[in-house]
Amino acid sequence: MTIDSTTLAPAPLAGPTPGFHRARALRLPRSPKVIIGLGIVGVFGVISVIGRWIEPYSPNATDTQNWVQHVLVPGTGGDTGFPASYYPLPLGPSAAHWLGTTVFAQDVWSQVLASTQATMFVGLVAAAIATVLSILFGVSAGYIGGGTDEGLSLVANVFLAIPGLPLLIVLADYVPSAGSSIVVVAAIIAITTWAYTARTLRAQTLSLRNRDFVEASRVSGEGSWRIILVEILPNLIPIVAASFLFTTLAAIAAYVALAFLGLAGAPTGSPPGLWNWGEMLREGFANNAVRGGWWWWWAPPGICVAVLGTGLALINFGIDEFINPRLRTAGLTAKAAKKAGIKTSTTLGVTPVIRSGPGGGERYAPSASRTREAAEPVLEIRGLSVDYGYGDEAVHAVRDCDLVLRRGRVLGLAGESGSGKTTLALAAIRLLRAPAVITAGEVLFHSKPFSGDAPGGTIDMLAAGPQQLRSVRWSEIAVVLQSSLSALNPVITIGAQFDDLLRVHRPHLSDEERWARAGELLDMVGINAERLRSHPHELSGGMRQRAMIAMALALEPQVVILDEPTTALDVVTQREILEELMGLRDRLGFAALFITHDLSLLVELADDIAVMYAGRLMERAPAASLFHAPRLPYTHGLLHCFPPMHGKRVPMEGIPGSPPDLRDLPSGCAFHPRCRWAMDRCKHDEPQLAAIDGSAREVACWLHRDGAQVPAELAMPDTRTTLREPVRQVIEP
Amino acid sequence: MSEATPVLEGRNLTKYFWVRQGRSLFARRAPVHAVDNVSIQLDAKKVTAVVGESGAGKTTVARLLARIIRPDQGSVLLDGRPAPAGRPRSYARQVQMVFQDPFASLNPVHRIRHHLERPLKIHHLANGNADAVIGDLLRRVALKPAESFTSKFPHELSGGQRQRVAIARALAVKPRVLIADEPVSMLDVSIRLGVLNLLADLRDRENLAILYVTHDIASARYLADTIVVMYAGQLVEAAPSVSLTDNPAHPYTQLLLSAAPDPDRAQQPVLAGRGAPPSLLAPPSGCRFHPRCPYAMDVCKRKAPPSIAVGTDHIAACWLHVDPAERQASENGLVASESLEKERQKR
Amino acid sequence: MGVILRRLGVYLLAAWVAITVSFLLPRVVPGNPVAGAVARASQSGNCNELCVRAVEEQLGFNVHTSLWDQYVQYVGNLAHGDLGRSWSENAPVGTLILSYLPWTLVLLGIATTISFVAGSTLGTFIAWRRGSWTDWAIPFATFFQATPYFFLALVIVLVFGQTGTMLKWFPSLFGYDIFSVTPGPNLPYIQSVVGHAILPSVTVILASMAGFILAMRNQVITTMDEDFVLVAQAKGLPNRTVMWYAARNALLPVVSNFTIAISLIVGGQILVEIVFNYPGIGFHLFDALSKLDYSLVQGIFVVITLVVLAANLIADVIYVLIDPRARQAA
Ligand SMILES: Nc1ncnc2c1ncn2[C@@H]1O[C@H](COP(=O)(O)OP(=O)(O)OP(=O)(O)O)[C@@H](O)[C@H]1O
Ligand SMILES: Nc1ncnc2c1ncn2[C@@H]1O[C@H](COP(=O)(O)OP(=O)(O)OP(=O)(O)O)[C@@H](O)[C@H]1O
Ligand code: SF4
Ligand SMILES: [Mg+2]
Ligand SMILES: [Mg+2]
Repeated sequence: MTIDSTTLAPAPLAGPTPGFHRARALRLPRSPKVIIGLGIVGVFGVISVIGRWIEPYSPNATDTQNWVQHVLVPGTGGDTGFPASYYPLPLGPSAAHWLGTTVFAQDVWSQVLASTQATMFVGLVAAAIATVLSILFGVSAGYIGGGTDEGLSLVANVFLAIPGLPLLIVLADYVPSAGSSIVVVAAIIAITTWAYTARTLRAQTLSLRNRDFVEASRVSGEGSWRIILVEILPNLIPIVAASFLFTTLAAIAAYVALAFLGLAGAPTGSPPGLWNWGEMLREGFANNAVRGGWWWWWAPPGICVAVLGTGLALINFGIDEFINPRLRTAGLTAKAAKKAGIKTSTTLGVTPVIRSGPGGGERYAPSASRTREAAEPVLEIRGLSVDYGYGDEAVHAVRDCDLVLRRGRVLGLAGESGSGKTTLALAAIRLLRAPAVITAGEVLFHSKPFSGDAPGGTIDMLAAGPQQLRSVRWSEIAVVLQSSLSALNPVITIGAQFDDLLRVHRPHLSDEERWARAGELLDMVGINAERLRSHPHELSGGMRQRAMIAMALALEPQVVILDEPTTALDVVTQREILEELMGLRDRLGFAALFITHDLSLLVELADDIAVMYAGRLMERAPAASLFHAPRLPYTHGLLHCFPPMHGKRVPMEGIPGSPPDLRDLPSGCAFHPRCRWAMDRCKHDEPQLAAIDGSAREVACWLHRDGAQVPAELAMPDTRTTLREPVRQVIEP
Repeated sequence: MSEATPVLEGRNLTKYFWVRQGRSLFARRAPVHAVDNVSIQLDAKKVTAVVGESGAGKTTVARLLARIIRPDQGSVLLDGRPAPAGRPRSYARQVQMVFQDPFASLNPVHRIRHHLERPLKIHHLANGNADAVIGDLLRRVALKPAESFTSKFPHELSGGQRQRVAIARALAVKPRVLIADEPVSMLDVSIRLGVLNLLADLRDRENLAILYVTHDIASARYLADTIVVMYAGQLVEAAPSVSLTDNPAHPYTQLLLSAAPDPDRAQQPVLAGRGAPPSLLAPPSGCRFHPRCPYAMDVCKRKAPPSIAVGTDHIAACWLHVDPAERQASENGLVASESLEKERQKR
Repeated sequence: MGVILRRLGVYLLAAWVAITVSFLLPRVVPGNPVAGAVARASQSGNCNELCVRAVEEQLGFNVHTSLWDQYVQYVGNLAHGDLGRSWSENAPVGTLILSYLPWTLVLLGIATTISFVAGSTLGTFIAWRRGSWTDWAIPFATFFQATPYFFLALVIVLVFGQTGTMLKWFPSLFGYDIFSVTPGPNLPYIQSVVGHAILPSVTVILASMAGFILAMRNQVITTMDEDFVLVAQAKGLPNRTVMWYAARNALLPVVSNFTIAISLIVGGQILVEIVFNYPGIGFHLFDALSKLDYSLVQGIFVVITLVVLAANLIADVIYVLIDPRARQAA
């Protein structure tokens, strides 16, 4: 009797395929849940095979030696006028009968052992039949699609809607051999349970069918059967396995229920049925074992059903976590944290800070930032390090990063996917979720609110409590994420999402005022205020992102973190939104941390640019300088990854190799395997971000240290030409 | 555009997708005008790029040419002869495709060997030494040492490596046409050029005709010999890549170029138009770009513009390039293209 | 509206299938017990033709007209609410079922609602505090989920029931005290009914809640990884609101899978009613089975199916109400 949790989860379409990764599959049995589950199921499996041989008595035999007390039925005998009548009293557990006897003086333990076989058999056979049926139905519906799909889905949905047990009862009641043949019982059970799995498999197949690898097979001329059998089915294995276990569980429950109703044949009937746990429960119930308090009779079979079911469900849990890794992280984190001796705070929405080892925030040498005091800093990040996971398993996603965001400026953060841009930015407001841990550093927010009642002065973000963070978040530091579709709550209107924000941070506003303000904000980004009544899915991608930006600016924050706000949009929309954003920046004066992997865009947009690689900041410079005179080989390479829009076409090289795996970083400079100019030293020593002697440029590269030979490409004169009008000029050397 | 017969040609391709309005069983179906009357030619030893915003119909054109889907109207010609009906293996041998998402286009449960072996087996190309052929394929896409890759699973490779495997799979049958649907847009910036250079290399070394679908006009300029710009299911401009990007003739191309990131730009870019592409369920009348076009004239709203040659091998579908007298005349219904247009609207 | 109509179509079809199955089973399954009874009667010698007719009539089994005619008549009768006649109770099946139905519906309604609400809340809470002590609830819930309803009922009777042997706190037999109160709108009767409903409903709630807890936990955990929850936290909303965001979205798949849940709960409740001799539809199904009263069995099956289909429809309406995307398509 379960609701299968696996398949309740929406089909995992995005992200890694729920397929059968060998490496991940091997990890499956290690989870304690799975081990316990396998253990339980294994024990029952063994019993079902050897049960016959180890049972101390025949389950039908009456134990005449220990045959028992007879009890006078109340209201008979003596002077009641009725002839005395007795009923036998079953024997409680004893050395001779471990689980006591039934009222017929049969050995309960032997019956439990004997029953295991039929029960397991029906469960497995029914599950096998149902699984085959559901694969046939589900996969062909999902693969063929169109009318076939509609027809088959309809059949499955109809079966799903008819309540299983009543149908089962009626079928078993009318099919005459159901009492004697457990295969027939299993078949009937299968008929009432296949539909659910079929529906799940159909959904999965449908999503797989649209995957490119199926299309690719078709393009290469593969036939349909091979595509289904070789390309699609192996990817369904985890789900088929989960469904099989689930159906086994359901079938056992159904069989027990049928037997309890007396529809599965009695071992003593004619033709004789088989011993099974449901039958034991039925006999106990029918013979007043509950009223008699003879729990040893009916409790063991019931407990067996529950324990076996738990075992199956536990294995299923493991498969669930395998298919949907989000479920797994939860348990693992807590355990790993404990193992590493770290006490994580359970405060949700606040990244824990664990400063391990010496240094931490103190390591930061302020010399670097002194050279440019152009505008006062609003967000200062110093020596920030962030890990995912704990102890030995930790991935060092951000290491020792310094970043200063200045009032009213745009700071660009560039780098490839996985370089830690998002991690760095979200760590600063402690928004990263488990298993992220901030392991070192300092984040200072120098607040000078434009409006509202947010706190002024300097706030140490890493020391702040949840309450203080909440008051700073959004009202002073707002965030725009890449995918506006997933960043907006799909089930409530845009208006309601403005409303809850204003309600919390501007409690003095009335309902109407909040609504009016939300309308104003939408208006500001060029969306009709009417759209407040729309749900996110009713807006286009560009409109949603605009709404998100309007929301970010709702409280006139001092800092806006823009994490790839336009990556998912078309160029024209991107340009429009960026223009609007910059216009608003000029008007409202917020500082922006703009994250993107598109360096060519950043050069047009940002005042300063910081380049990240493998979790570290590698170069920082004013945008124009960085573009015209990169100092870091990686920056140089990255700039040459964007073909120009003008001039003669020349072959470009890009950067050889691919970004490193953070779990397995190269020694020394993480970029050295891809670097044209790598020296011996680069392989061993990690360069630190520091100013190049005699200039304001900061770079983490050995080429610029200790008189190394600087290649001409990296020594272009830093003329500090601005790209456009000089308003944007940042550096006062 | 070129004198020789193109290897693969799509003529007047039209494809509508009929979608349900709403989820009800009896919901009305309406056509999405995904591709409307698009003609495109792929020449040997040439890369033709298709550029456009999301939803412009680029993928649909690619799939039509690969004959994964069938056109409602128009035809696909292979070497000047109509392509066979359906998608027989003989066609698969000539025309291969590379997909956008290298994470999805390789089956996670199979090793790299499987992916390369299957096409060889299907088309009986291995002749018993599949391993040698596979090794050769991997080397051709610069995956070295080849042996270390064959027994890996896709998830053990980086994005760029996966895309190379996908290209190798397409090359396995020694095709003459390679259709690449956004082959680099899911890759890290630093490795994109590597894959583009590989495609350029294949074009030069193996005389492949390549269709390069992309939304990044800069990369199209870098790789392609010819660029075709699509807007809302229609072809709006086609030209050799440099002349297209340097002298865009169609207002939409101008808009695209003005919006593209370009750090070399001397001034703040001025967007040449605003707004978003129209719904393809009910595309605008006349020129589909007219609601966004800064130069839109009366005629644009009423009649679809003809394709006009505006330079050597350079065509644009825009009334601006039709000389005013003719424009006037066509308003009065004198131009031959108009009767065609009428016929089309009747359908 | 479209979605609902579509589902309604599925349910109508399901109802038709259930009706047809219950019509066909006694007529086409060879050697089925109804046919057997008729055959026995006609061969027994001491039953003349009229008597056989009467037996056939009683069992709703007629070999003298074509299957199709019988079917038309059967469906026609159903349309008039005529489900045949129960020979064991000697009353129209429809009337009988109408008198059983309230017991079942009230128990089912209350138990399902409580179990759904409490289960979802608990599941959300456990997910919210994952990694803490609350995780201990999971193995327990798994165990409860795997426990057959009627076994749980037996345990509860043993421990708490007055017919058990331990605490004897609550009545555990029948729907009210049949010896000392008269059914009707009087206080003792109502008190008795309420008292007798406690244990059965607790059983159904306990047995079904675990499923909702686990489903909701998994959903909330999955949802909490979504960006919009992150944004809600970034917005500085209080945890309560963030949790509500996550729960509201997590609820959607749980509600859309209600079909399976309700089917399981109904199946379980049938057996619970038997254990408690609770005078609902499930208990009488058991009774009819043991008395070989096949027209009653069929009638009950059809009615249970209709009840479940109605419950599904309610769940669908709720789904459309809480998911704007479905609402728009609707
Ligand atoms: N929950 C997590 N558990 C373990 N590792 C993680 C987790 N989240 C991110 N990482 C790793 O941390 C690194 C940095 O990730 P991050 O998301 O900050 O990169 P990014 O620069 O923002 O990349 P993108 O451009 O793809 O958004 C990546 O290598 C990623 O694999
Ligand atoms: N199978 C389909 N059913 C219905 N509509 C479709 C189908 N395939 C494509 N479309 C629609 O056809 C139009 C063109 O789609 P297409 O995928 O060709 O665009 P695209 O230019 O490749 O866009 P993108 O850059 O997003 O890949 C879109 O509006 C799309 O929604
Ligand atoms: S035809 Fe008219 S509307 Fe279309 S692009 Fe040319 S000028 Fe603009
Ligand atoms: Mg990121
Ligand atoms: Mg596309």
